[in-house]
Amino acid sequence: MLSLSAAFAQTKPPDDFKPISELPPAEQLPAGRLLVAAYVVVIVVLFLYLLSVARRLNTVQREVDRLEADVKRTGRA
Amino acid sequence: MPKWFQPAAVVCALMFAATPIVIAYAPFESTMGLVFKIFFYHMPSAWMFLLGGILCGVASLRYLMTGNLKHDRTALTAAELTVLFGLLTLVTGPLWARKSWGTWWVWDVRVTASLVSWMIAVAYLILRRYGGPGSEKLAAGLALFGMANVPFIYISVNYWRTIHPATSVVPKLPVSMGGPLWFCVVTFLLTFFLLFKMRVRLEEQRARLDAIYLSLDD
Repeated sequence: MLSLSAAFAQTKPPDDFKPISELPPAEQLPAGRLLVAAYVVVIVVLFLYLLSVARRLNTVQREVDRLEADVKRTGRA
Repeated sequence: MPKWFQPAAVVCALMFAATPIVIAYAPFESTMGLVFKIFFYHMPSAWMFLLGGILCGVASLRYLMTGNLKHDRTALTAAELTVLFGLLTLVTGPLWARKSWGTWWVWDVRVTASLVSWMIAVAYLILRRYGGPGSEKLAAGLALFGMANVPFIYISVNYWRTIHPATSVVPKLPVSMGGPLWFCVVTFLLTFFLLFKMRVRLEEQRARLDAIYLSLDD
């Protein structure tokens, strides 16, 4: 219910970001775990994708090089 | 791969390693505090997601008009990157929303449209993988719908009642926040470009391999 009322609230969406310098420390939201999780997910997913593409590229490149060498050796066009 | 690729990859890796340090110097936002710093990864991911959608659509259109397989390879690569960066956007967004909005997910217009666009990109890849002969053109047609959704995602926050911040936020950022943001945007753009080059190269080499096997059969 709370999330529904938040979603349909008549409040205006924010149109600027203000730095926190005027707020007391008690109103700051500790969210270290969520922040670290977001950064870790981005870095890990990008790294895994890079590894996947690099591995497949190496495999295909080796196969292309091998076949081209065979073709050259046997003289078949 | 071209000679500039490896040095560019090293620069990209160093820039990525530097992003947490650069972001640490950005101030906290007054209502969101520490969790706001997810913004510096979430927004560049979203922009790369939209860029991938546009690239896939444009390449698909060119493929449909010319039949040139080079455009088909570009479209396939762009679709994969759209799924990849879309996933990052749809994961980092809820992590941020949990603290800032008090909920993991809201059926807000931008969030919903982004999910739909991501699903279109996934459908493109599934069609290409399992659709058999002729699936390239079917998938290209699908990609046009994905591309049409991109401007809608961007401007939706300006025309619908939504919990998402408006597009006017980024131009109004103070330098202390804008500097780290643009550093992250450049880092993600370079990453996108390098991944794009590698993935297109993979498709080119696969095509070359197929051509060699065909010539051997002859």
